[in-house]
Amino acid sequence: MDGLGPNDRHAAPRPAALQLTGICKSFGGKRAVAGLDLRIEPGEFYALLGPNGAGKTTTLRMAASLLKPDTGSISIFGVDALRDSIAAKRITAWLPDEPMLYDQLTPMEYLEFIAGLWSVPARIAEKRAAELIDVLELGPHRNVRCEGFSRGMKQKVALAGALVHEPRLIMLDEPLTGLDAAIARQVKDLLTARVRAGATIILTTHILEVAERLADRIGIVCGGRLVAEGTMDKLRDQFGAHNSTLEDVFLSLTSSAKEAA
Amino acid sequence: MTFAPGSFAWLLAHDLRLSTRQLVQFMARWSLLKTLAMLVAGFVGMHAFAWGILEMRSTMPGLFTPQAMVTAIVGALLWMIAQGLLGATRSLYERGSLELLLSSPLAQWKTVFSRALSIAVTSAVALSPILLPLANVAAFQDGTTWLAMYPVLASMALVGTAIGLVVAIGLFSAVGARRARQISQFAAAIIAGGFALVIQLGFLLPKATAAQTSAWFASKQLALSATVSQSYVGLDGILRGEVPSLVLVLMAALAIFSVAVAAFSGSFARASQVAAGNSDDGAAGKMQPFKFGPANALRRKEWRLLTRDPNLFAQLGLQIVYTLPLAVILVRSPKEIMPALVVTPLVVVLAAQIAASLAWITVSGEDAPDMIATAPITPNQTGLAKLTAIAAPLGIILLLPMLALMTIAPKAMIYAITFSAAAACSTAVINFWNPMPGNRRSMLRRHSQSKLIAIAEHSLAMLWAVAVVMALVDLRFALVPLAVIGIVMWLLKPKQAAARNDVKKSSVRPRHLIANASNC
Repeated sequence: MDGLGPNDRHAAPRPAALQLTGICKSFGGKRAVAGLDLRIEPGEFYALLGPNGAGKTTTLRMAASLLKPDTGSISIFGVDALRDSIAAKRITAWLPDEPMLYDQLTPMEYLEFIAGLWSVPARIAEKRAAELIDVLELGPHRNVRCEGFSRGMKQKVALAGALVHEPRLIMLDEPLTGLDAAIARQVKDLLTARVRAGATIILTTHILEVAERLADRIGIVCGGRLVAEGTMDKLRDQFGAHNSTLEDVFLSLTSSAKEAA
Repeated sequence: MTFAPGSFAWLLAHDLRLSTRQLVQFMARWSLLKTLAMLVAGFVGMHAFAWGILEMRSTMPGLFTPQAMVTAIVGALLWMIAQGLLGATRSLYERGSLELLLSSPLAQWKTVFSRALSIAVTSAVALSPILLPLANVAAFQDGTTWLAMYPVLASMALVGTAIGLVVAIGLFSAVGARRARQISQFAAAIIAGGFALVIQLGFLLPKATAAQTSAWFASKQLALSATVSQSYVGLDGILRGEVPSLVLVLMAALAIFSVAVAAFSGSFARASQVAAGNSDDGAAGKMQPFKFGPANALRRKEWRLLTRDPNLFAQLGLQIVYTLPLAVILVRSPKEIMPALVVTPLVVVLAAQIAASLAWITVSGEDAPDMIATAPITPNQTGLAKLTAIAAPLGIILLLPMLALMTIAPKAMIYAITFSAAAACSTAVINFWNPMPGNRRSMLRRHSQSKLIAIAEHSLAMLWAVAVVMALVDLRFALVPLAVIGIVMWLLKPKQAAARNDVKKSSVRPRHLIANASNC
């Protein structure tokens, strides 16, 4: 466990996979995240929901060390991500909503590149890359440059890149947007398998059905604050109607939060 | 002015709007008054420049022989063909506009004709600020004959575009979508640069051969002149600016253009569809075994992208072609220090400029900056790996002149290697320190993004060139330019590293991603 010695494990509580405390971030006077607190346990599948402009992507970009928060702290498996971002990055993966690939590289070359950046030994990396290519059914395109790929195929290559170094915390921003049903199923299956294997996942999505089916816990963000959090049942309780859907809960909570603001 | 939707004029206006979009966007930042002032200043400035050039006729008559004029026109035509080839190739691979038009109920020939005509207009307009002021000033001084340049320019643009279109389609059919793009861009660069090389042939050929060649060309030119002056085409008439001859030439060019478009519009449309849907043509060959480590990963990635970027590959290939005359001049020179004194600073300037371009591509043209930013490596590791990645293509480009220098002045070669490396590092590093948003395709326009960096790059290149010359004379003299270089670098070094990390990391992202980031 990074950042903790063997003796500390008995004394200290189990560190969260991701812990954000009092995170604030503004862009030119406009507050995107306003004192957000979030704790995600190891092995958890967490979905972060919220309307457009709620601060979901900004929150994940801060957790991925792409942005520095104005205030607050970020801890990843006990590693202070603001003080030792390299150690935090070593065990995390970030997948943006827009797949960031090199059009002139093939999927295998891309995976080699990512594995190299994370210092995965070449032989292990090659084996993992081949496995991911097979699982995501990219085999026929493994040595074809990505420039002609559809969005779904690009997203699969980017996902393989996020997984090739076997991160302990995987952060995904809208990973299923624009994918057809078959590819979306492949991606969901792969993510579920990763959580079963012990990885922790936090994803943002606008597809509420995905959050409802996959996530252990759901967090709803509005106006840069966490307005509700819990399992699906707990959220229904909070809403006060046991037969309500996540859509009902989401719309009710976000409109209440907007009114309160 | 509005045209009926679907009409040819409407379509041409659409294509011209697309091809001039960047210029219009650039000028849209100015007020109307400033735009008018800049246009007037440009008009007056170019005419003043043309006046100055034409004034040289009395002092340097050797520059204004009929042969020189013919050479200039041939050079302009070559440039037009290169532009036509580039424009046609670019259109073939555009997924957006052309695909939309070809899927509409508009006639196919109309779409292709309009696109080709917009390429011709763009080529003509690009060359007109140089040629037309010369024609205007010459017409003012010597008579209206020189206004023949206008229809000649239009004719050259039409013929150049027709040839470019046919060559692009031919390449596409012969070698396939991907290779056609690479070959056509390389060919366009070579054709455009060919003019410069042809001029330099005089320096490269042995003196006796050069004299024989010159005499042969002179005799052929006289024979040609005699033939055409008797023919109905009336080249003499064109040179005299006779309207019937000019109309005839313009009509002939339009006919060539129309026949080429009519004959190849179907092939062009089919090729465009193949190019847009082409995904299986990108086989990159057998995958090599994986390598370990961030530095290897970054270098391999950069090298792969550099060799697979047809536009950049063509430009780098051209740089190698341009170094040939330098090498030949050196090899043919007597074993003296003087040629080395001339060539060594040129090599240093070349190294500085190429390194700056490559550094810009590897940093600002980075397609996945977030991926790099989330990797467990420091910015210094990334910078060092990219710097070493740049060194390889730079070494290849400068190999020929370095080897030539070795044969005549080994000491100069050692200085050239040392100062080229230092110059390359300095211009590359300022690009690392000051990344600018952009993509790989806009490499040639990168200097419009930051005038400060453009000036700094050129200043550093010149300072290193001065330093190497002084070092060749006496090493102590080089200390002065070296000190100035140190000051320039110190001034350009960002003072707030932390602030830079936050701001610049996002600024090097492609524009569409910057827009997305704020849309949290």
